[in-house]
Amino acid sequence: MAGRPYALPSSKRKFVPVAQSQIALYAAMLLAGTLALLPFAWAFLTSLKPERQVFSFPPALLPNPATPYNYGRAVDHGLLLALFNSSVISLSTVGLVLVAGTLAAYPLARLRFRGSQLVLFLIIAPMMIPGLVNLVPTYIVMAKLGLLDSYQGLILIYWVHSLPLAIWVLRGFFQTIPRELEDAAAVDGASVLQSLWAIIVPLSQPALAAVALLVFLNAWNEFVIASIMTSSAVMRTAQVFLYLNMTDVGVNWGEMMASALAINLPVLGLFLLLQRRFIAGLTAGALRF
Amino acid sequence: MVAPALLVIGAFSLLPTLYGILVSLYRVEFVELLTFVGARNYVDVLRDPAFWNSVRVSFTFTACSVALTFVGGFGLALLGNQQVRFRGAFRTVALLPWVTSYVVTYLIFRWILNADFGLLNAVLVEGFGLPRINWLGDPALALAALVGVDVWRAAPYAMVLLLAGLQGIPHELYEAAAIDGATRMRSFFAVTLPLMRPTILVLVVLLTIIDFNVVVAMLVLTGGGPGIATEAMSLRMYNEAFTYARMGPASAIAMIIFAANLTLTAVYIRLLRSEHHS
Repeated sequence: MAGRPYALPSSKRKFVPVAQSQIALYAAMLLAGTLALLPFAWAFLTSLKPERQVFSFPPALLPNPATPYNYGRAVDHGLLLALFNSSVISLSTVGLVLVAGTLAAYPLARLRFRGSQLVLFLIIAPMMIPGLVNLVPTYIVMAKLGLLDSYQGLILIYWVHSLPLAIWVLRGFFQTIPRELEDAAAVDGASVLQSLWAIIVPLSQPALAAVALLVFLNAWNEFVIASIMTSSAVMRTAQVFLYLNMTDVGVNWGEMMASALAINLPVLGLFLLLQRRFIAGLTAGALRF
Repeated sequence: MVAPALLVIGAFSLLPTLYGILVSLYRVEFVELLTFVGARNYVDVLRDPAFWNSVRVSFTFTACSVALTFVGGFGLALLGNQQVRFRGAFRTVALLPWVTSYVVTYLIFRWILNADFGLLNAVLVEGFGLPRINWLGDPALALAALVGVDVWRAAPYAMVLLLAGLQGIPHELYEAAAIDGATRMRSFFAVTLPLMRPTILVLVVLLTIIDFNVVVAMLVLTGGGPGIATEAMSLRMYNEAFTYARMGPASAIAMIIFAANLTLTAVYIRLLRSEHHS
């Protein structure tokens, strides 16, 4: 830097407009941030309003009086059961994906066996197939297996849909871990599974966490498959519950906003707590091509 | 160790795709394949004017949405890449729409766009003295609303991927450009864009596939309406299968969507490759 004689013109040009461009920059950031937050803020304000205030024009900005009434109504209509269903399905999916994904990714990262390239191709090929294409055949298969309207059916589908990405990300991460540790363990008589469990898994916690978050997010937020797989009220996931409440005659927007925010809270909370892992997962998930 | 994963993926992901091709060639009653009808389902679908309407909706929605999401995401990424205070907070806030589910997002916007009590009309009427607009009741406005909300939802995702690309550009290149007297605008077009090409390619392909296959947006915000004005191919397929229980024609539409996806991806890759070489 110091030894560059031609650096002067650029630094001279930068120097003058710095203050102005800084202000413009902050203004643009503020605008974008407001645009991102405003719908959530409006939904929150609506959720606290009594019914006659929700249906008034022009709308009052602040709820008066602020009341948890809409949240109570949402609970009366089955919000908690829907949240429970989604929790069971999403967490089971995450567990199954981590176990099967780790077991599959390890040999694919370490071993070159006959047909290993073909196996890898078959595993990641589904990532090229849009989910819509499999919707009708999956429904027919699940109907014939008697798995419609059950936890097992949805968990199975989410598991299968998440595995290719999980295996791809984990395999990539395992390949960055030096082999020496496993070689040493093998000399000491450790089996493949033992060194996977004792060496690879602890070292791979960041990748495992990123995969877990991404899989949880996808399972929690998924709607289309859940909507065709669940028919009885007691099996509804949170997203299906929300949609079906909306299509009921006479939408109560206060209650809808209360349900929507409650259903969004788990993913929002996880995201705020573990943002870095989320972004790692998103980027890894996208760079799959 | 690979066997369990391979087995379930094969049985519940790869085989269903092949089975889907078969279904599209049969007359189907509920979930039973009755008689082989060859291309009959495809002919029926292609003869239906409503299908061609859905093709138009799909391409319009996808083209507008991908272009605007790309521009918006690039703007967010350039903002998020600045060395300023509150950068971390800005990135966090900007990403909130992406972790929010489709149903929640479109439901909140359905309320905001509500003709009688919605926030947007309140701002227009009270703030600017404009007349009330029936956003979701007019065909063109409803499609524009779908695109707008989709951009709001997807721009953060574009931001994350583009930021990863931006951070991969060595800083020396900008310094060299500045030494040669390049303006900021010039170095954006001469340094940033060319080096971002691989990231842009991935992003545009991903956005296209996501937008082309979106069902929930239309289902929640407009229900495909008014009439069938915002019924994309994806929603048409969903309705054929699960509203009217016509699995055969639905499978035919699914295969057409699949083919369109593959074609679009191939076209993009060709376009961006050839630009790269010239």
